Amino acid sequence: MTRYLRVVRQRRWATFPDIDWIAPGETQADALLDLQTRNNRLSVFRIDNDNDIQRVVVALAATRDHIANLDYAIFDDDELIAQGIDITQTVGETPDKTANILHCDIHNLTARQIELIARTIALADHTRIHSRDIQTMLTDALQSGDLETDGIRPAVLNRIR
Amino acid sequence: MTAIATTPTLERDVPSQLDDPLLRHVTQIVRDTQDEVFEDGMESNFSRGLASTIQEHGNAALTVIKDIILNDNTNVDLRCETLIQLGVIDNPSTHNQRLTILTEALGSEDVRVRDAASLALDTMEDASAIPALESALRREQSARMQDNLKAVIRQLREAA
Repeated sequence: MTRYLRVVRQRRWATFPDIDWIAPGETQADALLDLQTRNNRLSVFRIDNDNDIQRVVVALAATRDHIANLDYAIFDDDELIAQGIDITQTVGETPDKTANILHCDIHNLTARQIELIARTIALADHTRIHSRDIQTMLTDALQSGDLETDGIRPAVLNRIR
Repeated sequence: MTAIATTPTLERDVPSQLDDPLLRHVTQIVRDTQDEVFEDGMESNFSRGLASTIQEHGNAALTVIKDIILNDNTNVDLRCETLIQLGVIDNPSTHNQRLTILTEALGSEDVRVRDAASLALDTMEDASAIPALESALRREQSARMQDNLKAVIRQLREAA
C-alpha cells in the first residue's frame, strides 16, 4: 500500500449530516471540482512518512499566490491499483526539489476512475493547516534552504522573509 | 421593474436596479467568471474583479456584493469564494463592514458558508472577531466545524 496526498477544499467534501440534503455515504458533486484533470491526468504526491506530508504541504503552499489555509486528503492506493489505475512518478513543479521527487501523475484516467478516486478521497483522512501555521512552516523551510526563492510569488516571499 | 436573465451562477433573477452601474458591474463579474474553479490561496479573475471593485467603490461595493452574491439563492461555491476574498482583500476603509458581513455569515444555515466565513476571519487577523467565533462555536453542531472554529480562535488569540 502506498499513500498519496491531494490538495482539496475541505468543505466540498462535507457529507451527511453536515450537509442535510445529501444521503449518507454520498459525496457532493462539487467535490469533483477538486479533481479537475488535465490531459486525463491528476496530480498527487506520494507520502512515505509523516515528514513527507509536511514537506509536500510546504512545497504546495509555496506555489500559491498568497498565504492561505491548506486542506488536503491522504488516501491509499489499494483499491485504485486493484481497479487498474496507473500512478506514475513525474517530477513536480514546486520550489522544493525534494518534494518534487514525490510528485506523481495518475494518468490515462476515465470518468469512472475519477468517480472511484472521489469515493476513495471522501473516505480518506482530511486535514487543514491554517494560514498562520502555513506561514511559519514556509518561513522555516525558506530558512533551512528547502525552498528555492525563484518559484515563490512575491506576495508570499515578502511574508516569509 | 426591470429583470435580467437568470444566469446559472446566480440562480435567480437579480433585482431591478440594473440601471445602477455598480450593480451591473458586479453582476458582470459574476457572469464573466462563472466557470472558474476556485482554489485556496490562488487568485482568479473573480477575485481580481471583486478586489478592484471594492478598492474603487468601498462599502457601496460591499452592499451590492452582499445583496446579489451573498444570499441563499446563489451557488454555495461562489458564496464561499466571495467570503474568502472579503478576508483576503487589503482595504482598510472597508475593514469594519467586511468584518460585519463575515461574522453574520457565521450564522448561515450552511456549514460550508460558515467554514468560509471563519477562514476569512482567520485571514483578517482581527481579534475583535473572537467573541462572534466563540458564539458560533457554542451553536455549532458539526464536529469538524467545531474543530475548525477552535483552530481559528486559537490563531486569532496568538496573533493578538
